Amino acid sequence: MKNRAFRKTIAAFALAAAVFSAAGANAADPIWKQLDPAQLEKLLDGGRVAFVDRAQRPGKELAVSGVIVNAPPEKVWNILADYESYPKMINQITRVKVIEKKSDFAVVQFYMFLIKLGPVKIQTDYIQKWKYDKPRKITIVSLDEKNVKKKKYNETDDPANAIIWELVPTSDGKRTMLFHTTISDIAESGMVGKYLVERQPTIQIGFDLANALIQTEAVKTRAASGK
Amino acid sequence: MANPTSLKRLPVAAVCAIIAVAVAVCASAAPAAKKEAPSWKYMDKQALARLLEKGEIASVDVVGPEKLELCSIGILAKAPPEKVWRAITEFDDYEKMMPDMSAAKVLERSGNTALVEFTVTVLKVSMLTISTDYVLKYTFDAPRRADISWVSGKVKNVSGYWELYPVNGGKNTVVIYSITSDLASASPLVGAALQEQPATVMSINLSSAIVLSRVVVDKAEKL
Repeated sequence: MKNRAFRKTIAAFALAAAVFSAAGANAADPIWKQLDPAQLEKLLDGGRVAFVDRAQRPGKELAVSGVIVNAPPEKVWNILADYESYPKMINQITRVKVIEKKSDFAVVQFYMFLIKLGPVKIQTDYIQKWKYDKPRKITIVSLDEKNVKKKKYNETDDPANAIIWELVPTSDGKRTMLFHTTISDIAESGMVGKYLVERQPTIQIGFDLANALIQTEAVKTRAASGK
Repeated sequence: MANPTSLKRLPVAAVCAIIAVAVAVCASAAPAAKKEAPSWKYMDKQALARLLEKGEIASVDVVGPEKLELCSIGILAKAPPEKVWRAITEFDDYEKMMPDMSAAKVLERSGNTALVEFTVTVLKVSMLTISTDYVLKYTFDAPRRADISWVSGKVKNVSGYWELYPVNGGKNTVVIYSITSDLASASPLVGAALQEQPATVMSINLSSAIVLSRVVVDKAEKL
């Protein structure tokens, strides 16, 4: 009797294991992990691709862009951490100020144009902490300017709003699958942002997807330039 | 890297006008080429369906001599292709489904084509309402594909398509919506506003494609 129950339990575990194994990825994994590496590489080789990821962080819609960079992860990492070169890489960024640079993190202030309309140029800036998990992941959180002035770099931002760079080596380490996960809140930025999101809620994810696509493409282009 | 969230001083009217025009224009879809974009639509459809259980796929390809951006969205409908097809082609319902659409009228239906006129609200602030309209031609291959092309209206170069693939034994559908439009053609003001802002154009186009594909799927799932 006991043996039969034991066998049933084992069979149930085996079945559960098989189901999970077939699924191939956990609910909290990034959406691109739903594909096997070969499928993923083929997909990214086809052009600029992004995902709306609703499964990774409960209640959040994340924009995730992926690209194949023809350079090893180490080189891609160096491009990502070369903050001073960002104004050359991304049109909208006008200036970068590195506030703190340590082996495991950096605190950086970015200045950028939100809009250029003839002589009208509207600029904004923000401070971020880039936390390194070398050589595969960078987690970015926003910092409060007042704390930064006091040299307090402990993040107070909700971890669910973190921005991520992930580097996955492919082609025997000669190329890199680069993923950028981003999330923002246009509505929180003021009256206009709130109006835009109320009028068309999908403007939020459209904005995040476009940013993710542009940034991954910028890194790819920079790597291809060899500079 | 850059993640601008502060849009405090964007000119409301200009931005809203651009978005509303884009949404309106994207209530439509393009003629087939050799290896038509997006590349991911050639993936195994079951693998694509598994991916779409977790979200949506989006891509941007540069197409045609005008080098316009073709925005494509892949989304999973928990409904068979026939229901999704109804949701796409029942144009009279677009007015209820789309946030900025004030009218959608079938001007002509013959054989496998339809001419549809869409009217959208570009700006609505208190008593002030500004609208624009445009006509699109749909060519149907039911319930598999609908091609969309521009006939008249201020925003030009609108073209795209809907494609439906049955998955999970025909119970679900992988829905692909691809659309391009030349937003800068809407007016010199809009053109100037967008010239130096590729991120804005892409945001608007993606946002518009997402909203339409989502409302179509939502309707299909309720049919």
